Amino acid sequence: MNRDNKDYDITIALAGNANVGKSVIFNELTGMNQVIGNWPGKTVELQEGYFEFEGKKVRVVDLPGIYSLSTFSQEEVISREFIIEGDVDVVINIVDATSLERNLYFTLQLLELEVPVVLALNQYDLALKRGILLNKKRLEEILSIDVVETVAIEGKGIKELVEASLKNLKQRKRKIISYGKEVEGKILENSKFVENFLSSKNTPFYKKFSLYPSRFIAIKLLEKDEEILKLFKGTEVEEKSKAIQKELEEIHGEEITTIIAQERYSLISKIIKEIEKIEPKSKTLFIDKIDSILLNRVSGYIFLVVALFLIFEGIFLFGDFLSPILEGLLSKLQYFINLLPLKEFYKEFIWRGFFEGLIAGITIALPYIIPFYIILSWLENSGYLARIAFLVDYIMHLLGLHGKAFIPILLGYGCNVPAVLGTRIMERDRDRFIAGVLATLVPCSARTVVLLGLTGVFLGFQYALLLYVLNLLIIFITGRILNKFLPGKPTGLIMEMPKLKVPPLKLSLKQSWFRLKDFIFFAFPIIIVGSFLLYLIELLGWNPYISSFFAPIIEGWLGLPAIIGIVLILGILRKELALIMLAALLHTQDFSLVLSSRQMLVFSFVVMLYIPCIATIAALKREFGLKRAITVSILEIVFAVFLGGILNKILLLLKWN
Amino acid sequence: MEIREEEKEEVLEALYKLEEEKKKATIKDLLKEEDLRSLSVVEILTELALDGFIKVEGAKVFLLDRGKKIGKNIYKKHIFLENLFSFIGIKEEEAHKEACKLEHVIEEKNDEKLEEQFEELNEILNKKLSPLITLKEGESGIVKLVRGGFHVMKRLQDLGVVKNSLIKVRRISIAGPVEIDVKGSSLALGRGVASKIYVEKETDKSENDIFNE
Repeated sequence: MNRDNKDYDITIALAGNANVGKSVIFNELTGMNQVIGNWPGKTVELQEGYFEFEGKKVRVVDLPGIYSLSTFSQEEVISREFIIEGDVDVVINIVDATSLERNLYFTLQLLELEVPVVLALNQYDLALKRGILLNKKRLEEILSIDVVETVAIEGKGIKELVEASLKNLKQRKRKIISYGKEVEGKILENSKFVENFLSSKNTPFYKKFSLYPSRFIAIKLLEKDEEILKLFKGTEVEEKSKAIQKELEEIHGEEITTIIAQERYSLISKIIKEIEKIEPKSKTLFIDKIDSILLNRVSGYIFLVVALFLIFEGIFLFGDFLSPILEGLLSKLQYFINLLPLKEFYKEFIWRGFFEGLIAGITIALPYIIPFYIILSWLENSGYLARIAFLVDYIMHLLGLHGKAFIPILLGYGCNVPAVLGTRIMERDRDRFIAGVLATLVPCSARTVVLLGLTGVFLGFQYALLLYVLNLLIIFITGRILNKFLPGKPTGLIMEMPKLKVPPLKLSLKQSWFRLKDFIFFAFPIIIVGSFLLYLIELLGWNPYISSFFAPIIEGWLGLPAIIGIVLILGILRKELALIMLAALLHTQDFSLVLSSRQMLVFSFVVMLYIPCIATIAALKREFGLKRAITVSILEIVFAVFLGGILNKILLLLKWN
Repeated sequence: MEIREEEKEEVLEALYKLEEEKKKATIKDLLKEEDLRSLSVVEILTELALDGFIKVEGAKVFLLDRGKKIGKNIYKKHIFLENLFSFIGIKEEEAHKEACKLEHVIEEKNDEKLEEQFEELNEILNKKLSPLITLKEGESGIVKLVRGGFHVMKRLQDLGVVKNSLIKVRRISIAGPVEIDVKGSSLALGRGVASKIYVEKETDKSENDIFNE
């Protein structure tokens, strides 16, 4: 986000609540011209794209969907910093015309920043359908900003929005929207004080504040904003703010943040009264009827189970169909490598050291991940994911999580890497961490290959199913344990229920494409390096050492042939290869000849539980830091081996062989 | 026999209660009071009158300012305690008895903040306020109190749940979260969160509220 060598003329930031159609507008503006960037040092995604308009190159930055500009989440901090310090020329505030009252709460805060703002009244058509009539002109007058009506899904109003935005570049001079007399008076008093204080200080530390309006600082100080309070700690500004807080609290008999929130809402309800008219509709909208079915305490769950079953069935059918085809095609590449004018050794080095990893990534991960991403994105845009979270909240609560955690855990069945990255949808670090750990315990498509290929084929499907049930049980218990021993308390669900709609498939395809790109850039290098290491170990002939070193655990505790130790250790690099490696080491594809039923079950069980793969460890590191990634990995290995041994002993006792 | 402080307070409280009910209290009324059955009311009244807490005119008994202050205080404590006990599930009769004993024991604090919270609690305990979770589907209420940590409160504020917002319960799932309408949008709130939001139930207003489409 550096502007030193910028190759664009104008920056537009898109800001607004979640689920207002922000990403649709972003896509309408930028087409395929976008990148997902991470804010330096933070795990918040910022999407960036470009378009040309009247000979100017315009950069568009899609800020995360937020409800406020305080500092209670990273998303809010980053959005605020970006709008002020990111050299933004104009902010497009996208609001949902069907729930303007709530949306304006954010708008008022945005206006406190005194930056150029254009308001996009999105989903204007839906508002009309619901009988909500809005007086655009009056809204423009009251807020003294330009307002554009848009129906982003149909591309309506986008051009007008761009024109209005470019007209408002750098329009900082604007009338300030005052709150109630009493509160506004106190804000001004504090604002003057802050201004005087800042002008008396000339240190670089305080220089940064010249970008922030003093009225905004004054309000945030009164609201006990952690970031800003920190900066004024121990100064007379802090004292003054506290005194004003106390004064207001005494007058109103409320806590200060409540007073200010009430102030904003009462201003909003005045605005709404002037600009909004509702024509009551007698009949329920069709989409609302569907909504009642989806959320009904009987039909809702039936639909959920059926939908999940169909989604998984569909994804696995698709993947199982596509994977071998891709593999067949890609393995033809070896033919071309053999044509290279190189010594045999180098040819093999290139093939096994690089291409095998790449092909594995393409054939194992992609056929399952691509449909998963598309379906998930579509469900998310339609509002159904929020409804799933609503339906499963109670179950997730037993794990110390809330409904939203279901989504990354569900993703885990496709691949653990996006699942761990997907924990970002949760607000609190503690929730994200628990969900991340649980997601790594979910058998991904690579592990499913082992579970179905070994247990399913040789012992029967019911045993594979048994392992899945055991897995759910273990996830459940782990969740409870984590919840008990991690510091902090579980948080309750507070989530907006977006209105149900049929989103355009085009948008989901685009979003999936960008997510997929992100996944490939993140995971593929790791998969390829892992594959290379695997080859290297074999080349160096280290296998016997590894297996004899781990023999006591593998043979003694797990009751497996010592040679399997290699498979388990190297499985960390490439888990989906476990079965192929096993076949190579045991010199047979028919595992029933060399392994007893007990051994197959124990092996599958351990593979299912211990840390999925090196790419997942890297994902854990990216989300939770190195220390926690390593701790989780080690604990999961110990845990899997421990439970595997117990399973072995139980099976021995039962004389089940 | 020495008259105990508690006994005097008990009589002042009973008098205060009677006066609040706009009754002209007579000695006979006091003798009828359930709570004073075991006491020697006449002796206590004599002593109270001598100490300037009450005035006796014929059969009628009036509270003087000093006496009124004490009576009111004890009465408030009594209501609070009784509400508290019945709130936690103790039977009415039992709750009343316990409150009668404890009202003389709890320390009196002149802290305004405490007074306020006392009032707030009283409002909840009096069942004037109900936790959001107790509302039925389709019922609505005005938010009066949100308990919980700073973060939860702040998040709720950002989403429109703030004191005096009108909330309508749209849907309650089995054991799970509640879906509400507030400020023109719907929110899903976990059970824990919903039980910490106290609302004043709206009764017949539901017909002209804005959520009915």
